[in-house]
Amino acid sequence: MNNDKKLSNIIDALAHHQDQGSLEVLERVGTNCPDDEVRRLTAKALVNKNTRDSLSIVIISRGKGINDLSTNVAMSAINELLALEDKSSAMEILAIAEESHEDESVRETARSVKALMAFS
Amino acid sequence: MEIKNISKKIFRTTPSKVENSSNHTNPFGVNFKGNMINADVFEPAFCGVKETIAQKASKKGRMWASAIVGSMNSVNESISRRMNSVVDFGNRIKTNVSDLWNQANVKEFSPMQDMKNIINNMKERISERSTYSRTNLLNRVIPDLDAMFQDQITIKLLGV
Repeated sequence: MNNDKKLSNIIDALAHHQDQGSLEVLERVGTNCPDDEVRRLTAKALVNKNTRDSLSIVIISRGKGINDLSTNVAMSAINELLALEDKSSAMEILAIAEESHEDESVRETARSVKALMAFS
Repeated sequence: MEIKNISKKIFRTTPSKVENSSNHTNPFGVNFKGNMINADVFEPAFCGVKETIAQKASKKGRMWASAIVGSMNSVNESISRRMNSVVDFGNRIKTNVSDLWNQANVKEFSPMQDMKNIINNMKERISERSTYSRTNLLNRVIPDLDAMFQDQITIKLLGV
């Protein structure tokens, strides 16, 4: 089994874990990893968790999820948000980010993604 | 004889007679520095004399002999080149066989140990595969997953 497959399985296991500690590991280790592919997989896992806490990391945190400096990671996170069956939590968090986030770029991104999700 | 007549006979200033050039096929050989060239030095395109079968056979024979001698050199070269490559190949085989023989003499031949090594290697691989299988990872506690996650990221970043 190669390294990528192992990482993918670990992130998948953390995403399916019900323990709150899994979220902390994904945020601390996964979203701060220098490797784009690990960050992309982590953002995907956090979106698929579809909880307020996990979506907050992906939507509100600067430089993570949809605000990642890597276009590949950001676009992957946006695609996962658009593919969610239940978008209610994501729309709430996007609305909060659009209205009250201190960073202009985060507000702009949240506004754009919210508009996309409204049309999808 | 008078001196006057002698001088006329020795120092003849005019040509003695006019030659008819119709006997020669060489149009330039009629006169050469005052002397006639009687021999026909140019070979005519058709000399009128037919070659006999024996002459033709002898000519062809000479051509064949020349061709055979020419080709024999190239045949010899190709044979020697092929022989050299065959000899090189033989030498390589000989060297490889002798190396193999030397290694066989040095290394202990232990089929049981080799089998054990293979089995252990396979066990390690199966164990690793089961360790990182999804079902196994889902049953792990968070600190284990945390450590494994960090280990695998380090391996990926180091490119090991």
